Amino acid sequence: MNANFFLVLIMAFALAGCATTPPPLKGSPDLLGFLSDGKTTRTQAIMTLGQPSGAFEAQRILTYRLGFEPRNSGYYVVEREAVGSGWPTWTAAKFSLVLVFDDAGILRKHSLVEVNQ
Amino acid sequence: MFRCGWRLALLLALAYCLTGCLIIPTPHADSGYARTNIGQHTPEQFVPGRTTREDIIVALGEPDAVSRDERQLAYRFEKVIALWIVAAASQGAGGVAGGTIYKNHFYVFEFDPLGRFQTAKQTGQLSMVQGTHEPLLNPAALSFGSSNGVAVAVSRGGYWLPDVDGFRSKGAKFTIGEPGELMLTESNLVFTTESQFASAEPNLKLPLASIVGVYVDKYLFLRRLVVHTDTGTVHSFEILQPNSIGGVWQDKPAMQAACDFIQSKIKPTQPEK
Repeated sequence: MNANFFLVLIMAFALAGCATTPPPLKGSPDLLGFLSDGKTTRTQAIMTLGQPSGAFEAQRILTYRLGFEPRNSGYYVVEREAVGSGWPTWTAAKFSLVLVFDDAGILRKHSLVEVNQ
Repeated sequence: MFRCGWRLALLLALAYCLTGCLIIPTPHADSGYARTNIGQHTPEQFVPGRTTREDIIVALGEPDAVSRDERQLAYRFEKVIALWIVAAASQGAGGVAGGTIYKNHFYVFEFDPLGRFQTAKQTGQLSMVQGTHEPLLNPAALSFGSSNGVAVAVSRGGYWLPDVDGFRSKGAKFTIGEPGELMLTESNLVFTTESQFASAEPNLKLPLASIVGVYVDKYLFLRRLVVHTDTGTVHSFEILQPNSIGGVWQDKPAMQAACDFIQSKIKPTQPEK
């Protein structure tokens, strides 16, 4: 009786490891699909991606940190994170999205830089 | 090769026995905390005097640090170069501790006032804690020009009066602002109060793009720099003379120059399509 009980317990314990569900997909493959040089506005970019992690030259250049979900080749925005010394880390972000706008706030060019390989 | 490895192991063991401290060099590998798209030859792809700040950000991505005047961008990468082990023994009791030795590398790209790349300086420091030892950026190096072309120093002591419209608000004439440091960059107006560390987030950071009006208000012999933002808020500032004893002597030319500088950055509003 005791042996059977322990056997069932061990089986249940072993199977429990197989029953865990994978974490939900975080990224969206078409997150950056709206970006179009010469058309997309700064407002559209901020409405879609949220507040940028960096802004330079009077917000002419905006940068976003993007994580990458390999299971669906999706991107997702991550916040700037820093270690105790104040230096940012790139553990969660794999890409840096750089958006350059003209004086009228229209996207002039953009680049997706693989920062963390 | 085998004999060489034996000798090295023997030497390391001997060193460990003699000192109780062992350092094991490892192949240089990324620490996993910093960016990995920067290397020894990165600056070679940029041409001094021709490459712009925009070019570098587009090529390398968001920098890890930026001086307040945006004339310095810093990019950091970090390598694990060795492991350390320390053994301690005392009257029968003992313990072992160990960790990783990192080497931080920094490239600091410097730009002229027009945003053209000038030089790239590399620094590297050993550390037993990842992410420490930053290069000393020059955060307050920007000079801005007044309308008559006179360069005026920035990053000046002064007072900040939030929600005060010069001397026009109720009771404004008798209001004393918060002491601190006013800083103007190419992109932002920043005020840090005296109670904060310089490296902390400033109490006020106004993008110049959000400022819709700026002027110098006058009352008797006093002046205040006043800015109105696109969200309807108003801020006043008093800039003091350098080394002003007791913080009482206003620097009127600096306030006028700051006003001219901000005015030059305010562009006519263009509706986005």
